[in-house]
Amino acid sequence: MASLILSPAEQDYIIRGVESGFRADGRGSLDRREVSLRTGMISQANGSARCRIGNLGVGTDVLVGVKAEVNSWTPGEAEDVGSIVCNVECSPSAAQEFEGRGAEEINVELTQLLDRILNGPQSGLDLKKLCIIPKQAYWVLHIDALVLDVKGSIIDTLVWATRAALMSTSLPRVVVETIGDEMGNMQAEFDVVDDPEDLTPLEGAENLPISVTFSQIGKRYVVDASEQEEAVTQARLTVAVSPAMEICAIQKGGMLRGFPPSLLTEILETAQRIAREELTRFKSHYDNAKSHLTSQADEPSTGSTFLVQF
Amino acid sequence: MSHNVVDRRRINGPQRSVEPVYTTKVLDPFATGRLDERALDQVRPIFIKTGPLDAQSLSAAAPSGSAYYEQGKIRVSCAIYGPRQGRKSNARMGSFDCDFKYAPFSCSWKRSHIKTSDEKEIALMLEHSIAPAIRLESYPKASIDAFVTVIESDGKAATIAAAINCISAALADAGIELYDSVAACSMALHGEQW
Repeated sequence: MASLILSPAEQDYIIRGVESGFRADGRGSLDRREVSLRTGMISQANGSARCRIGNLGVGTDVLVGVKAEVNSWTPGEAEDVGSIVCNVECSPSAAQEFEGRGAEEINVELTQLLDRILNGPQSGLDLKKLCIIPKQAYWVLHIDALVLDVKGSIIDTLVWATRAALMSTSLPRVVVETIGDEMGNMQAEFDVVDDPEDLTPLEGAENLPISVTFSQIGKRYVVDASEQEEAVTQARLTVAVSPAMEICAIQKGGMLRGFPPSLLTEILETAQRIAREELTRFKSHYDNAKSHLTSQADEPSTGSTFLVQF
Repeated sequence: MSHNVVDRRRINGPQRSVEPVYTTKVLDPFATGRLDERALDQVRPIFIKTGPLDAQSLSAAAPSGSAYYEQGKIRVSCAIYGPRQGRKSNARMGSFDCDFKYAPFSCSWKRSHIKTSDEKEIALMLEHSIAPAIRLESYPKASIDAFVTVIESDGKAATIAAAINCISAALADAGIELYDSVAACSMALHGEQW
């Protein structure tokens, strides 16, 4: 993860503070920062969301766009499901070490983590509904995430933004007809309705998991580490929990130490409790997140609305 | 996968080819006991040999340590190079880098010879699981590199666990200072049973 260079005195200050239960910004060890969430601001995408986690208007910023494409089935693939393809990219403007090929490793890690959370029955999305005609055509959802700014806790922001983007995704309606040819064989054909108002929302997106990241600092752990706290984190554990309180994915990161099994059980239980609170918080943010850029009414038409409204 | 990428160093196969599709039904391995008649918590027998790769040549390019690991049909080999000069000349701690690659013939479907993001992520996973066990503070400015090649694979999670065990053996063979050796095992949940 992107890391700040801190002097040994500052590192010691943060580590001892966390061990005594104090954090540099005054939060408790399980408190999370403020969230800003906006959806639907990219008109060309089937679904989009931008999420910022951080206090005082500055924080980790992730923009996610979802585009749906129709793909032809090839023999060997599953016959009656659609698919999801994830891609996460950290913009070089987010941190200095992301310049050039510096972001390659972290891009791979985040992409695979997002893929592990979303691909499979644990994600809650019904991939069978994405199938248009079995053994012929299916929807592919391309989920592209762009990390615009990094101030600690990239994974949680990424999952929040992806969840919001998928919940706001709507696909064009597809009309399937079976046509008989000269020899009496029935052939199924589909037609995508071109009407931008005629859309069906993506089913099952509210069952998507939400993630909680625990950072081990000294002898204690904190949730939602800030940039300074991430610089002294020795190991981190991300737990993705679904609304049904099932643990969908666990990822351990950090090269300096491991987690003892007793701490692991404690973290998993705490993760479920925090996830419940986060899901409620997510719902209230999401309900207010609809971007007003889509309504023509009395909004200014300059590009600065993208920044101003956030 | 990458149908439009042409590898100019090799004589290529057809531009578009698909894996054969078998029409026999796959048996449920848990309905009548596991296919190889193991108990639910029994691991496959393990064979480890250290030092297979450095006996031949005494040149400076030989790896410091190596191991060959077999578990059932899984065959993994690992070579450790290092401690050698690291990329950052002012680092207080050594760095540990893993390189993971499936041989193209190792899995039931042919794999690309270009490293996929899957293999890159597994390499990161291996780094995160083994680096805490290495005494990296004894190797400032140095880097320890592990190169893992999967010769034959039988189950993705089990192969990753085999790779971790193989790297631990190879690190011990290389004489790298360790806090402990790392052991790994994979588990699968089927219904309510592990």
